[in-house]
Amino acid sequence: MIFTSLVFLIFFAVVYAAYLGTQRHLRLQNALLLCASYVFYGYWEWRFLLLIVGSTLVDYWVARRLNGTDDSRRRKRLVALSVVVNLTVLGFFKYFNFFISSTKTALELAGWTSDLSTLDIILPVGISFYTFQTMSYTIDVYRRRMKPANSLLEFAVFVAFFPQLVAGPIERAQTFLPQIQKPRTITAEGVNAGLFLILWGFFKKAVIADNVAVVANTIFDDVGGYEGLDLLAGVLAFTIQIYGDFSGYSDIARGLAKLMGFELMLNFKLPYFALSPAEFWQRWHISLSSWLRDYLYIPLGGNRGGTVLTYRNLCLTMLLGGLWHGAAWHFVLWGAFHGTILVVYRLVPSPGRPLPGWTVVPRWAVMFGLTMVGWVIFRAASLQDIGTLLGGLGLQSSSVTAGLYADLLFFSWPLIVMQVFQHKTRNLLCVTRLPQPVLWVLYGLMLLWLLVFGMSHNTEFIYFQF
Amino acid sequence: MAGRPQLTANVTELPCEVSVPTRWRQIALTLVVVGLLVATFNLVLAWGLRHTTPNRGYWLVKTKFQMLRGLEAPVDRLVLGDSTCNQGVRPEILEARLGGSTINLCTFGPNGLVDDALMLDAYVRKFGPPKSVIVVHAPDVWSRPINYYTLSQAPLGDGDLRWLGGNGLLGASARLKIFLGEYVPIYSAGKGAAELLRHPFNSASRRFELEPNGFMKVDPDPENTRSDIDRVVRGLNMYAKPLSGSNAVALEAMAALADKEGFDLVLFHSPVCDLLIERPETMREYTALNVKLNAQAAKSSHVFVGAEAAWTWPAEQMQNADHLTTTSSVAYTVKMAEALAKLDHSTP
Repeated sequence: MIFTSLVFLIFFAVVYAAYLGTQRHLRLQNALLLCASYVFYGYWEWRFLLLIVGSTLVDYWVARRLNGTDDSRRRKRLVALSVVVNLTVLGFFKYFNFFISSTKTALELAGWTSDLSTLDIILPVGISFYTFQTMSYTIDVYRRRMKPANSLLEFAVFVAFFPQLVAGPIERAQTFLPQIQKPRTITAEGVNAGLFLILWGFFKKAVIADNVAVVANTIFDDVGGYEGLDLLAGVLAFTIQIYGDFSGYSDIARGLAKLMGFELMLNFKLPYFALSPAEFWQRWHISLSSWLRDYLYIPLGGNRGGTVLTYRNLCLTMLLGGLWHGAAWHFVLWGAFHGTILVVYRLVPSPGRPLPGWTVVPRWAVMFGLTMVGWVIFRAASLQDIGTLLGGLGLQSSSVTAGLYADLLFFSWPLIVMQVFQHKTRNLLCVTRLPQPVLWVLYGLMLLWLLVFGMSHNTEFIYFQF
Repeated sequence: MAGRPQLTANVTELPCEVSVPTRWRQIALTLVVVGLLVATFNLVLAWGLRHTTPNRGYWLVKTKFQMLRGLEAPVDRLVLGDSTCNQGVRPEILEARLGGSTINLCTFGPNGLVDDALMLDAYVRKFGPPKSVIVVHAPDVWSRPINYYTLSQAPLGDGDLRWLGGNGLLGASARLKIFLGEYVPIYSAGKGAAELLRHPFNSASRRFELEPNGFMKVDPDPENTRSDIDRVVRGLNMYAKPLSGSNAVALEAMAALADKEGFDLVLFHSPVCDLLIERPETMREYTALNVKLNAQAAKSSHVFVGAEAAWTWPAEQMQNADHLTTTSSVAYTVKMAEALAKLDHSTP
């Protein structure tokens, strides 16, 4: 079920009415949330619900066992069981074919023949998100950072909570589970913010991302057929598309949660204003980057083992972060690229004092350019396309250049204006502080644009595939 | 994050979310006012689209119905059908070859045969029967069910609605769609509304021009024609029946009127690109459709099939898979006139 579909709007209206009707009955309300979440997921493919249920039962059981023993070897075995089960499921569904085909290619390159064959595996939607979420729970219980859930129902809601089930944010049990365990309070402030986030999220997805996607797809589907400025339009379009698409989903998820009295973590903090790769990862897909930091980078040693080891850890973390996005070499390359620029920026000696103001624009331009290079690697269909596209960027125009930029500008200017406003005020909810008449007009215009320019077909969110 | 090892470092001040104190009344007021704003805009847009639509099909429906309403004297021959006929049949050639006055009232495919029947009914009510009626449709249009959103673009009067109701084509769902099509363009005409807002001066009436006899001139586009073949084939594959329910009802009603009023109703296939006729789906469609059309003709002494075989043209002479250009429309109309002369039924 896609947020931008009519089916979801009806589904949510029904669920929300029932949710409000059960406000005084926590268990009943949680049961409702679980049923709704399973319907939401099962609407796409009910058989894959078994994976979520399986993952829920295993991690619930492991955490309860962890809490019942102080034997460190037994605790290690238990947490290993959780990690192995989760990664095996993820590995099979997401990486099996990639591993087989890569092995086959490697063997063939070495002159060996192999009859390894891939399987016809469907990737369960959102598996990377809920797997990481449940794994972090057992690891946190293992690290004694939190007590395990006492109720299977509450834990099952934590795993399957429908607003963030298929594309995050990847919630932490330490902050999200307590919200499930106690009655939620729905406040006017929360609903006000939630409504803005839902509207803005829909706008970013259906008006901005889906429309600029037409420009991006035109270029990326035929990279050899366009001039330098056209290629740049395609790269800019994808840069806007992926942000609008993913942050739009996160906003809708967080907005829906706010309507129900929940608080999900912020996943984006204006990433295209970053001045360095380090800052970019503080602003982009924060729930993943902080997960990778806490459960991969730090266990690898973080920055405690000296400069070389820190760089190794950074690169390994980003490589695996890239691989998390999908079973393909260009995702690995994208991770490697980000790992590399993180290291390169660290190699530049710090002046030990704040840099002068005039450096902001060039630093931003360089970082934005690097981000776009990253998106070329991320989006291109092949390594050859990456080379063609990056090598072909330039100032040559063609008969379609003006049209491409006109479309791009027409659909992306609201995003630029909004982001500058949010950046200047340092408040992502700055719009809600506008005087009411201004707010009415703005909401009215956003809704109208959404109705008129929102792509009528239900385009899936890009991050569903991860 | 403070005091913990960082994956990242040297970060400038990041934005956060600062909620504003709100009262429930403010939220309720916002919802009401925004709802009213959207409703107002919708009505303005509906008014705007009624006067200047960028959608060629919608413009054709409106304009052709207006032409019919504006007719001051009866004509001998009505040409009804879809856009293939709108730019394929030249009334002046039929007039020169067969005599009698002719008007081209063809609209576009989504309305199928239903708006043919509506126009014929309205014409007969206004002027009495014409001497003959020619109906032309593309192969995939015969099988399409009526699209009420597009039908709503016609200025439907009480007589039209009575006709639809009397023929079982005006159920609750149809009424709702006609209402949405007419008054809720932000729902029913998203693309048209978007186009109007993006290019307010690019209306169909600026881009296309109809001659006084209803014929529309078009330039060739061979590349588009080649790539358009698949669109038509997809359309053919979409529906199992060669004649949709609503088209069958409309055809039946027109045949009944022809028998009652004593005028000839001649059915033609649209011109098609020779590449399209090579596709097995097209031949299958023609075979099945001809069975239906011949059955209808056999039931009535005034209904005829003009030609069972579709007349074909090379891509260079077409605008797309089933639409002719101004030049090639001459040959199509000449062939049609010859077929009509052979039938010896159309000459007034």
